Amino acid sequence: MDSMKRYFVFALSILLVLCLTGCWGNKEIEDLSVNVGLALDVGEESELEQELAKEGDSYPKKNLITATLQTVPVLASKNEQQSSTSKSSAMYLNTEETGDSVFQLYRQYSLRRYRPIIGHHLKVIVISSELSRKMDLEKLLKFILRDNDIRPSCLVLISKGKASEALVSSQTGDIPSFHLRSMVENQFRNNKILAPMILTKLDGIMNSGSSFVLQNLVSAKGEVEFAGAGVIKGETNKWIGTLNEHEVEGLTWIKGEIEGGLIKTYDKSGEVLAYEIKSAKTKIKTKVHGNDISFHVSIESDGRLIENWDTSQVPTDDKFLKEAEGYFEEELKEMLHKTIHKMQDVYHVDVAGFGNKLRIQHPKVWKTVKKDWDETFSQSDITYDVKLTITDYGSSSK
Amino acid sequence: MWQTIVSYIPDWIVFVQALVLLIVPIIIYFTSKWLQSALGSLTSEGTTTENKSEENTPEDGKAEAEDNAPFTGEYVTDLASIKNRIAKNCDVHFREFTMANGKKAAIIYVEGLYDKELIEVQVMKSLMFDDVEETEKPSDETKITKTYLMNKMLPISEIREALNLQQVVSDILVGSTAMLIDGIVEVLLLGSATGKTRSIEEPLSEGLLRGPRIGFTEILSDNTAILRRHGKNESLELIKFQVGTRAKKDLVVAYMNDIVNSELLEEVKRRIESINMDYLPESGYVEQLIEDNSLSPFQQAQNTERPDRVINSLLEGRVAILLDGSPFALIVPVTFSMLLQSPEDYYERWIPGTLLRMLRFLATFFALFAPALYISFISYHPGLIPTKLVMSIIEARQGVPFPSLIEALIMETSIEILREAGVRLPKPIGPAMGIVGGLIIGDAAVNAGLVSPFLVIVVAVTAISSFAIPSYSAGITLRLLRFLAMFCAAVLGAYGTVLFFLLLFSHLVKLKSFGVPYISPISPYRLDDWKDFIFRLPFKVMKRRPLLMKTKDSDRKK
Repeated sequence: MDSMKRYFVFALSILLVLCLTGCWGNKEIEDLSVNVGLALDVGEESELEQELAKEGDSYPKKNLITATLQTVPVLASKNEQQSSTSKSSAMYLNTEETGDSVFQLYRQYSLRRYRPIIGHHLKVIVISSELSRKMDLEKLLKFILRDNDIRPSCLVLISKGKASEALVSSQTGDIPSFHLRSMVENQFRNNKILAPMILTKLDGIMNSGSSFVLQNLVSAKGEVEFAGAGVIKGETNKWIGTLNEHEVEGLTWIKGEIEGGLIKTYDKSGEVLAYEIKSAKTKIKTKVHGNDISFHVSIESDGRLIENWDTSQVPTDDKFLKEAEGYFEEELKEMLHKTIHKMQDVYHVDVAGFGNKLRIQHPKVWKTVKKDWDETFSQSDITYDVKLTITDYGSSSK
Repeated sequence: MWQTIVSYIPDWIVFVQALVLLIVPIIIYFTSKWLQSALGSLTSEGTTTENKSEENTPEDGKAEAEDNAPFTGEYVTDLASIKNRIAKNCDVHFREFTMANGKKAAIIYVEGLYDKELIEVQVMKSLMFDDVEETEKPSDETKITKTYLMNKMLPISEIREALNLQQVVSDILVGSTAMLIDGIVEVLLLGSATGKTRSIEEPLSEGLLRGPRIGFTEILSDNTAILRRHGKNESLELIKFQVGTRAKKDLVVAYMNDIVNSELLEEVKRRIESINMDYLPESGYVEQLIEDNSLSPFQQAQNTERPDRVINSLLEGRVAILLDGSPFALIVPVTFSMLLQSPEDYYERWIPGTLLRMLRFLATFFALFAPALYISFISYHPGLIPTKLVMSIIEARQGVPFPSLIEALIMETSIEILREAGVRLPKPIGPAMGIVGGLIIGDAAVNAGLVSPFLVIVVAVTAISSFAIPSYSAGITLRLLRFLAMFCAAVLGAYGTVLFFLLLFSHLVKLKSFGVPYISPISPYRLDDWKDFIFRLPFKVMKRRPLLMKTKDSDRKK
C-alpha cells in the first residue's frame, strides 16, 4: 500500500510537470490586427509624424520610404455599431510610417497601435513609380520576400501617383486592398489587365534579371483604376516608364494572356465596331540566322461581332463580316506594332517574354545572348500575322 | 582536423534535451506498465484464490457437507431440512397436500417466479384427483415410484431430479418448483422460472430505418432463441458458462464452429473462465473483466442490442458473448472501423452505404478535433483562416473576455452536462430540455459576451457529429478524448493537435483486442480488408471474410 501511494504521488508529479509548461507563442485572434495592404512611397513624413517627432519621437533613420500599412478590422464600440449605419466610418485603418528599413517600419507600428500586426493576410503591395524609379525593387521587397508570415500569393502593383492614395476608398464598406485584389480577377472581362504579378513570380523574375511589367494604378478622388503598366528594367530593378492601356492590350495579345475582352475600332465611315474575344491563341516562333534573331508572332482568335453602329450593314452578310474582320485585324496589328515599338525603340526592354521563348526553342543561342538580352532584343526583327474570325453576331442580326 | 570535429559537437543543452527525450518515454513506459500490472492484479486469479482458502473456515465446511448429503426419503425430515434452509425467505412458499392415494406431498416454490398454471393444472390436479384408469394403477398403492410418477402422472416436459439439499435450494430460488413426496428419495424439480419479462422490442440505442426491428431482451434463453432463428444453420454453437462466484449467472458464448478461429475461441473461453467476480449485473462487467488493456480509453469489445449485427459478426468469424440479464451482447474481437459501421451500410445499396460510412468517418474527425482546431486557429494560426473570416471572427470575439480554451471549455462542458442530463430526463421533458439548453443557453451565452457565435457553431457541429457515431460507447470515448485534444491545442496549437493525433494513433496501433490489431485494415495493412472499411464495396466484390480474423473458411461464396 505504501509503495502504491508513492507511485501515485510520482505519477501525479509527472502530470503536474506537464501543466507547468504553460502556453507559449499563443496570441488570441481578437488581439491582433490584420495587415491587408502595404503602400510604399518616397519618404516624406506626414503631418502627424512631424508633430510626433516634435514631441520627441525620433530615432536614427533616413527618410527614404513612407510605408502605409492598411489594417483591418476597425473596431467600433457596441453603441456605435448599432447607430452607425448612417455614419460613414471607414472599415480600414491606414497607418503611415516613414523611415528606411521596411521591417523597422512594421515594428514601429507597435508603438502606435496596441493590437500587434500580423502579415499572413497581406493581399496587396502598391509601390509608387516615383519610389521604384529611385530604388531597387529588390531592396524594397527584401523583407516582404523573406518574412515567413507573408504569403507568396501577395499581389504587387505600381502606382503612378502616391501609392498611399491607392489604399484609400471613398466608398463606405469597401476595403481598398480587397478591392484591388479582386479587380485583378477581372481579366476575363478586359484584356487591359495583366496576369497578376504575385510575390513568388516576382522573386523568380528579379532573380533571373529579366525585365518585367507591373500593373499600373492611377487614383483620383478616392477612386482607383488600373491604367497601363509600369515597366521595370531587369538590370537595375528600377522603374523606367509606363505602357499605356492600349499598349498593355497589345502586350496581353503577345503574351497570350487573353482570357476575354474586346477589340474596338472604327470602320471607314468612322462608326464604332466592337469585337468580343471568345478565344485567342498566340504562337511565337523564333528564328536564328547566325547572329540574327527574329521572332514571328502569329495570333488566332475567334470572336463575336457585338457592336456595329453602321446600321445599314447587316451582319448576316458574309461580305460585311469579312470586312469587319479586316478592320479588327488592322486595329490589332496597329496595337502590336505600337507595343513592340515601345518595347524595342523607347524602353529597350523585353517584357513580353520573347526571351523565354528563345530559351525554350534555342537554349544554346539563349545562353550566349542572355547576358545582354534587352539590347539584343531591341535589335531583333519581329514580324506578326493576325487572324481573327467572327464566328457569330449574337442573338440579333439587326 | 580536431578543431573541425569539435566545432560540430553540439552544446551541452542539446545533450540534456536528448537525455530528456530518452528518459521521458522510458518513464511513461514504466509508469503505464506499472499501472497496467496494478490494475491487472485486482482481477488476477492468484491473489483471490489465496483469499478464498483463508475464508474457508471449518464451519463452512460443515455446512457444505450437510448440503451435499442425500435426502433420506423421509417426508418430514426432508421437508424440515429444506425449511430450515430457506423458509425464512418471505417469498418462498410451502404448499402441503395429500395425494389421491393418501400420501403426503409438498410443493415448494418462489412467489412470482414459478409457473403457476403448470403447477396448478398439470401437477396438483393430476396428483390430487386420481383419474388414472384403474387398469393401469399399480397394484400396491404404497409403491408409487419416481418412474411411475414421471411416466404416468405428471404430464410435464421439464422434470429434473435432485438428490441433495444444495441442488434443490439453488434451483428453487431461481424459479423451479420442487416437489417432495413421501417415500421418494429424489426431490422432483418441475418447470422453470417464468417471471415477468419484457417483450422483444426495437433496440433503443441502435435504431435503424431499414433493418430488423428486433432487439435482445434480458432473458438469455430468448436471446439465444433469437440467434437460432436467424436461419437453418448447424454450425452456430452456443456454449454455456457460469460466471459469478456468489450469484451465478449463465453466460453463453456463440460462434460458428466452422468459421471461427479456434485459437480465438480458446482465448475467449480462457478469459471467461478466469472471470473472478462475485456478481456480474451487466455485460459491461464481462467486457471490462476480459479486455486486454484497461488503461486504454477505447472499448475492446463491441456491445450491441441488435441480433442481426451479432449474426453478421459471427459470420465474419467473431465470437459473441451473451450474459443473462443483459440485453447487450458483446462481440469480440473488435476493430476501430466496426464502431463506425452500422448494419444499414449493408442493407442499403453500396453507393449510399459507402457515402454514409465516409460521412461517419468525417463526423468522427469533427467530434474529436473540431474544438481543438478552433482553439489552435484562433490562438495560434490566424493566417490559416480566410481573410474575410478573420475579420468577422475578430469583430465577433471583441467582447469575449476569455482565451479560446476557456471559452471552448465553458461551452463543451455545458453541452456535456446537458447531454448527461438529457439521458436521465423523462421522455416528455427531453426535447424541451434540448431546446432550453441548446438554443437558449447558446444564444444567451453569445449575447452575454461569454462566448463567440463561431464557437457555438463549432460546439454544435461537434455535438451533432458525435451523435452520428453508431456506437454509444465509442461516442463517450471520443467525447473524453476531445477534451484532451483541446488541451493539446491550447498548449501548442495545430502542432499540438497533430502531436495528439500521432499519440492517439500510436496507442491505437499498439492496441489489440483478443489478439487482433485494433485499427486492423490500416495497420497491419491488408488491402483486401479495405473493401469493407471506409468504403463498402458491392457484395459481388466482397467474396471473402475479413482476412484479419484468420477464419477456417475464408470464402463467403461457394
